[in-house]
Amino acid sequence: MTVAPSTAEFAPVAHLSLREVNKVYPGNPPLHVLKNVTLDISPGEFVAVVGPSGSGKTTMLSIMGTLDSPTSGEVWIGGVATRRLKEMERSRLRSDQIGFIFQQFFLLPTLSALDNVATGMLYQGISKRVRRERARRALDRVGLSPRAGHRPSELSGGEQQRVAIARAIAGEPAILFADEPTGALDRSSGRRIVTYLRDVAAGGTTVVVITHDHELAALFERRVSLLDGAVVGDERLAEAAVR
Amino acid sequence: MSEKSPRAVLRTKHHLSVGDTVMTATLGPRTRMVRALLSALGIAIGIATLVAMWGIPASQEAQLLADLDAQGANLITVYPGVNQQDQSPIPIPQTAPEMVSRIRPVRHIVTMRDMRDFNVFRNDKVPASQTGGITAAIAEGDLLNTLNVAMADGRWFDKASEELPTAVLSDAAARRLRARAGSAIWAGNQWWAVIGVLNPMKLAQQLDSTVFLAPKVAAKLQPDLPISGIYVASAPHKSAAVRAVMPQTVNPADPRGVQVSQLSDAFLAQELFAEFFLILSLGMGGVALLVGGIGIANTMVVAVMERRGEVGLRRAMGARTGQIALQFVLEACVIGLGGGILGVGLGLYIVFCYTAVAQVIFAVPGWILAAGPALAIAIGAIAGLYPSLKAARQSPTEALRTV
Repeated sequence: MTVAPSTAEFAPVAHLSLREVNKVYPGNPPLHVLKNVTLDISPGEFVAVVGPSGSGKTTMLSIMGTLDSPTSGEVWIGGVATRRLKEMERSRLRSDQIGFIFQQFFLLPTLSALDNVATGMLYQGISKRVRRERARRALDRVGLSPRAGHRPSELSGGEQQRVAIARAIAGEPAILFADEPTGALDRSSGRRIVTYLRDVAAGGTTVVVITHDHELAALFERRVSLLDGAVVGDERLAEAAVR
Repeated sequence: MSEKSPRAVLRTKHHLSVGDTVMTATLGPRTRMVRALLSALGIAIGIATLVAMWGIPASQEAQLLADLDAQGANLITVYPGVNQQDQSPIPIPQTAPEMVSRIRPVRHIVTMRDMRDFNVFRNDKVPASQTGGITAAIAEGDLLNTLNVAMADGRWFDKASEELPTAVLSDAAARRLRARAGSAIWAGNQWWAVIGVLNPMKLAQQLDSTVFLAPKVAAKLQPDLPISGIYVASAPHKSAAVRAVMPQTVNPADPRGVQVSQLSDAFLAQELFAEFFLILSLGMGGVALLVGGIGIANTMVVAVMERRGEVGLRRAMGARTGQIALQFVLEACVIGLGGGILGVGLGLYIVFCYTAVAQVIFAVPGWILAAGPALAIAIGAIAGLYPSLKAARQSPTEALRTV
């Protein structure tokens, strides 16, 4: 039984909860990528995960997003323990609850911006008409309505990432994970992307962003620092500082 | 979106609609049109080979059958044999026509009796020495159908005319006598009314300068004429069997004293040739299809490697492994289908060109139009299976990381 009773003392109260998560890649010597990571993230929080390269940020995001499973420990998402879920159940969880944004955008080159966004809901069991309707709204939210008919090659890097954001939020996920979403962008485009993500969080979606850019991380209301696979800092910044 | 996702909810699957499945499966080929086309080309060549190699012999055979029908492949001719010792003819028994007509696959029969010393002239003023090489004969039975000839003018004997001094002329005889239906000719010292003229007899050119006399009238003039020949049309493809039983049927007492015409040996030779051609073509087409299948497999392996990011993204968006596998298998099928359709078109074009040059009937078995693409799809599916499973088995993190 993996559905946590909400009244139990140890039950995660957050939307997203990690309990003593370890990730070890077998080898000689074994690679201990995540070490006893325990973290609670409440619904609607806007969190930056910072740390140098190799600190385990991406692995942590993959495990939180059920793309990978921990060697030990447990990840709870909306009250569901995910470690023992079957592949099929994880897929369903991802399609219904989780959105992803990647550094490389991963837009499909032959599809228009609108169709790319609509594709994000392909595996949610939503009719094409509704998908396109929601895609139109999501594009509007990131300010790209006028570019709906353009292909990715006709858009700037910042615009492409905004399409990717629209794709991730169009399905109204409970949690949005972004892995270095500004990594391929210049500073001002990166700042704008963070602004959009903050708006998403303001709408009630939990947003977890990985970045190695401390300056950008200062724009988040909460900053979790990773070093060598362990959480070494978890600070909440004042609202004023975020501004 | 609900706050809680009980596991029961997670166990139910979201399904892609048919339209979404098709759109997803055609995305790859649409994105890389040239590559898809090139990899479909292998299959196309294979299918085209099969279509052509099936269609060309089929066209040849259709033409051959048409030719043989026109040439009278089912026509058997029986003549009196010759006595080996004194070279005298061995007469055909008078009972022969009836016996022959009882052979089951015999469709039509006509018996010829040549009139003896019976010259035919345009009129009674022509000197008796100018016979013009025209002979007179009695034809009993169905000459028109047996020899597959039509009337050029007038008509054949009927119950009334066969008892009156009437005549039907063959093509050459009519030209030499300058006669047509309605004319009269002078034969055997009496006038005969011409009631019809035949078209040229391609199947029995030896009869083309013959004047056919009203059977009953002529038989009264020269009773007990020997049979000079029996023409028999058998059911299609039965001529060999009919021919085999012909001698003993015609003359049970002396089967060797009967001469039966030879069937065209070309027919059998052609059939053998067609069979050999078919085996050869199956081999060639098979090799082409194998190469085509490998081409598709190769394309799909490359596509899966190139599109790891897309696979990772789809997994992240919630695609199940089965959906990823299906996407790539269907994509391979789409390429196969494209190749199949292209191949059928190409094959038909080759057959068409062949038939135009060789001047034979265009004949391609209809089932091949469906079987070609179906085979191509099957090959695509087989070729795409391994790369698709490979794509599906990739862990999403791996797929996303390696881009």
